[in-house]
Amino acid sequence: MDQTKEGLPVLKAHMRVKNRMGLHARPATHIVKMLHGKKSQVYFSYRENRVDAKSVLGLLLLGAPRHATIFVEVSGPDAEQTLELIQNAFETGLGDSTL
Amino acid sequence: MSNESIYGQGIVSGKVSGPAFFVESSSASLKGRQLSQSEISLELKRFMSAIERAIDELMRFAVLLDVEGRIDELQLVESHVELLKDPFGLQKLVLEGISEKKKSVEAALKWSLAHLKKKFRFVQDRLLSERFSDIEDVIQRVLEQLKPLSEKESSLVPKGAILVADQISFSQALLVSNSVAAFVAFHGSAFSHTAILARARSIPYVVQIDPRQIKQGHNPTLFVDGEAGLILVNPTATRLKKAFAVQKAVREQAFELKDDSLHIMANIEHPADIQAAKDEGIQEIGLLRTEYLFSHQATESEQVKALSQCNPTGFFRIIVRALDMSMEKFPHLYRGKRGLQFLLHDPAFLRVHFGAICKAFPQGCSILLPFVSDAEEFHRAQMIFKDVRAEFQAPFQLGAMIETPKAVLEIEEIVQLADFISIGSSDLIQYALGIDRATTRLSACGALHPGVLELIKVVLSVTQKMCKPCILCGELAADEAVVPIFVRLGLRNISIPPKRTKEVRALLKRIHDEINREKLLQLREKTREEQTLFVRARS
Repeated sequence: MDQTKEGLPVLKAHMRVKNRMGLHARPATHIVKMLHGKKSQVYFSYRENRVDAKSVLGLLLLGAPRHATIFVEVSGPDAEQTLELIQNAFETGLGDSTL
Repeated sequence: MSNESIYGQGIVSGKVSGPAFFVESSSASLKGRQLSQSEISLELKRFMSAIERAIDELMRFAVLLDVEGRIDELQLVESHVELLKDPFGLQKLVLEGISEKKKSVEAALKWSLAHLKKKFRFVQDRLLSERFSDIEDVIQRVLEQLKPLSEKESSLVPKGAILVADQISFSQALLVSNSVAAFVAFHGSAFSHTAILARARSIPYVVQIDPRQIKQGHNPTLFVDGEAGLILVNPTATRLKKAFAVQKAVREQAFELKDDSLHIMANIEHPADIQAAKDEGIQEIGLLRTEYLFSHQATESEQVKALSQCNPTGFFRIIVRALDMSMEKFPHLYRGKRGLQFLLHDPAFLRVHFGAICKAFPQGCSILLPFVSDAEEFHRAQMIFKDVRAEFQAPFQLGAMIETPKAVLEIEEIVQLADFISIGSSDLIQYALGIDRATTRLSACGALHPGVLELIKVVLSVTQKMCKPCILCGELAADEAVVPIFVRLGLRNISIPPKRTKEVRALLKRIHDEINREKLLQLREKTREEQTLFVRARS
């Protein structure tokens, strides 16, 4: 398993964007708000882009449309809990009603 | 300059008239300059305080929206707040621009905007790349905070005015949305936040109108028809009255029908079919198949000549399908693409083709794009069409033919862009069920397949919801088994070969008799129930 410089494990998962309009402003805001106060570092990758998931701008620049598969990396003291939270959010449409 | 009609693209429907109010684009405020070392910390402070004020302004809107229960708009405002707060996003870029590149806040913002614009070019999904407008909007908002004027300007917009600008940002739209009657802009799309806001507040919105065209008049009064995409500059009282009333009547005549009849239009493949249609009492062409008149090698004058023969007098609606090349029809000309893809493959030809149609139908007509497979494709053709149409005064509409399950999956996006929809049922069945048309009769095996019914049902319900006309073409349009089902689902327009008119009229009569019988039975049932209750009450 990969580790951070501090020796913490990096949890990895693939998640699928279910929202009709893709990862646009609203879902991006939902993710950033959800990650407020989380100690872990979270990165999303799609195609050649890797961005900090705590940045709305970063998430928008990811350009992930509907059905895109995003590679998620989480590392930090609350990594497991954070990953679970992200997984749930993707499942339920990232707070967007346009599934 | 009075009584001028200008056509753009209607995004939010509704008709209003009122005085024009012009908003200058604020790109002039982006003039930056190089900073000296001592000025840098001052600029950093200036930027952070502008960010704070912008957030504060948005939060005040958020509270208002929350009180009014406008959840959709509230979420958009919240996303703009997050963009402003994001320390790794815009803030980081601008701070870098100020401290490392020694730019003023304005220049750093401009630099960030250009930098992000470049990055957004790599976003391939069209819906997402249009979201660059969110970033532009947020940057605009910060810039407004740097100017002494901001909200003051919006308070100058008189109630009932029509806001005209190069581009109307979401923040501008929000500021004036309680007082303006309509939005008119050059840039803008049906997917923008401004469009969402306009739809939510029923504010007519027309784009692709150059403000300079309107500005020629002094303080002009405008009429805006958000459905037709029409702007009238300084209309006379008579013209205005007509614009409010007559156009609606024409539209209703064309597409909204009495409950007891289904609208029958004719498929035309050859000028001789027109006489056949007239003989059957049909006065509308629902599908003029141009591919039987000429090929993609025809010059403009050849096309105009062939098309003019199919422009009969006395017909009040003509739908011309743009050239639909396919392997089945023209194996020797086939280039591996069909329908709209074939046309977009050669934009120069498409331009000539659109021009020929507009010239052959000087009174205006509807143009149907064949085999549209997604909204992006339609949008590309629409851009070319807008360009060509600008030279003609008559009203032209652009519709999409839905012939693949893929198009049905994107139907909402397509319907938003198109003026009308036509369902090509034969191809739709073929592609949905994977049938070989050469060997199997479609209506026999596919028409009643639940998958096909479901696909057509989706198209009917979306077009009804968005108030766009929908026409059923192809084999199914005359099918005894399925037409009754679609009529019950709200189908009101079909286009059939003229020679099948009698058969279809008989079918329609049977459907309506049946519906009427059901209504009668329901009425009887109700009367019986009422009688029983009445008797019980008395005893």
